[in-house]
Amino acid sequence: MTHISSHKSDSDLPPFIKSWPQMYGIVIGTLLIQMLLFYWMMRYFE
Amino acid sequence: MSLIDWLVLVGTLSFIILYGIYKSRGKQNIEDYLIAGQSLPWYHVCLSVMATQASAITFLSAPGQGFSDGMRFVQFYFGLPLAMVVLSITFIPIFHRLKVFTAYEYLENRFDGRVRMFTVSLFLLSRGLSTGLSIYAPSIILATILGWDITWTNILMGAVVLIYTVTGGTKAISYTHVQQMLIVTIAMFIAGYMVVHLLPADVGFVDALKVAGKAGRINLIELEFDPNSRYNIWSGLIGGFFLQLSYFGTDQSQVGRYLTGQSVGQSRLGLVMNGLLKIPMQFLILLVGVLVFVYYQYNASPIFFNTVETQKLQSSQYAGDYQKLESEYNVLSAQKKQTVLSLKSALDRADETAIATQQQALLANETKAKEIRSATADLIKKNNPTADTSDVNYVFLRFVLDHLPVGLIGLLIAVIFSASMGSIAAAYSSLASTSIIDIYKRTIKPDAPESHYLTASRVATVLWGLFCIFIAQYASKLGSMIEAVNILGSLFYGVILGVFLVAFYFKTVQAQATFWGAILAEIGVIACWWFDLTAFLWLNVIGCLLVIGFAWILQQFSRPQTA
Repeated sequence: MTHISSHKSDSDLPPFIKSWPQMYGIVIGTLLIQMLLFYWMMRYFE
Repeated sequence: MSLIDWLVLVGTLSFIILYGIYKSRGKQNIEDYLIAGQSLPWYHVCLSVMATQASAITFLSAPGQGFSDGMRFVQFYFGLPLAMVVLSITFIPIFHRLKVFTAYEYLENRFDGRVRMFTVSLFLLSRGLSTGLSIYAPSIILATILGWDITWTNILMGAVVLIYTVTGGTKAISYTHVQQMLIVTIAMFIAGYMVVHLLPADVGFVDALKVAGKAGRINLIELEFDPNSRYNIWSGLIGGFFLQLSYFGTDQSQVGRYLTGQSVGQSRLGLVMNGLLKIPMQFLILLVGVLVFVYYQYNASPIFFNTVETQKLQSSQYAGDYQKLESEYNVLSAQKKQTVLSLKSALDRADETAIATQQQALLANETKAKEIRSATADLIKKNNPTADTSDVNYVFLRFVLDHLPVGLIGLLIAVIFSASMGSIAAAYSSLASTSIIDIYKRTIKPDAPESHYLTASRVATVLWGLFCIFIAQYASKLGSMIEAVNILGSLFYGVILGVFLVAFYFKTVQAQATFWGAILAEIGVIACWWFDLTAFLWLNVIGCLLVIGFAWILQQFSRPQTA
């Protein structure tokens, strides 16, 4: 197995994402948006 | 099933399996067999962890839950994206840096062999049993509805997976996972489209959602904190976070998937993409169940979706009682159709008073229908005490068989098999890798050549496969099976997670305190479950916190260990 450096890890980021903390922010932000959307959907259709 | 359905079923499964074996051909060593030589890109990691988590039960029970209980089950997954972030920051870099094959190897580095063996034992016990259940759960449903023999269905389900797992190892598992997830996603979209297509011509997708909403099925968020409620936003965020963290962080069936990533970044990306995709996927599956519910508002539904049991009732001493219930249910179905038509008309006119009136009528009708279904279930139990009366597991399959066109039935049965095979394959692989790396190589034969461990891993895979099929044959009847699997995991996962969190974050706590802390915590969790003190999702939180608490307290009373 080859040793994996943190530099290599950063180069695996998707396009337009500059760092892992930014990527994690997107994941958590998406979760919040999903919960808000679900809440809106529930209120709209109930 | 028709000949075309059989051809679609066999063709789809054969393609998936042969493709997986073809892509994993070539000379293998132990690293290739157990972690695919750490050569796979992020999308393999992502689809592989998703396929491992999404068992057949997901596609049988979840639409049934959408049908009977609405969409609140989606909250169960709210903790998952948060867990993916923590895993990416903490677990993945450590596992990659230490170049481990299993998560438990790390525990011996940090503590001692005793702590490693304790967590390995908990894992093998829970994963071995739950894999047997993963084989049994879809098998019993397919066998009941399609009239297949349960023994042969169990053997088929468990043995086909064994062939490609032993032949191609983790690489074959990963390639089959990718194909399985693609087919599952496409088929679920088609199923959702077909349900809407089967609704009356003037009822579109949004109309269906409006009807579902008025019937309380779009219950996506429950804000009230109730520790005894299984699904609310708090149990999902907190309990779900701990469950997913322990499942993905310490269950080798998942750790083994993301250790296949070709770098820390590729493994991380696979997991965070899972964090982005899992909730929408679960939402889609539940939505299909809700649409099936709407379909049955406009059309008569069976009084019991496990129609094999109602057919048995008709020729039993309870036939008279059953016919009475059925007539009552048929009257109710006709009333329900009228009510939903009036509700749709009121919704079109935006007549709030009429909407409220028809909504009340619809809910009252449903309460009455539930009572009749419950009375039917009692009758079925009286007639056949071993009958499976958890009707929620039969809703979607019954709908598929009764209403979807030829060809699509075969495809959806293939989806159920595929999903089952995906999670079982990962489980076989993890059971084998843990047995060989954590037990055989460590304690029985530490200095054998690589080729010996490769052969031993293949033998271990076969033995665990046979064990799981054996468990499947003797699995007892359970409630909603998706919950049963999660409950079994929750008894052990929290404690295992607690051990790992102590290892990562409490550097002063040593092996002795952690070992006894974990044992006391496991006793505590089992006591909470036994006396039914809380909903099962919280057992993960309790188990984890108890290990940390006990280990820390015991450490304060321990003499410092000498190196």
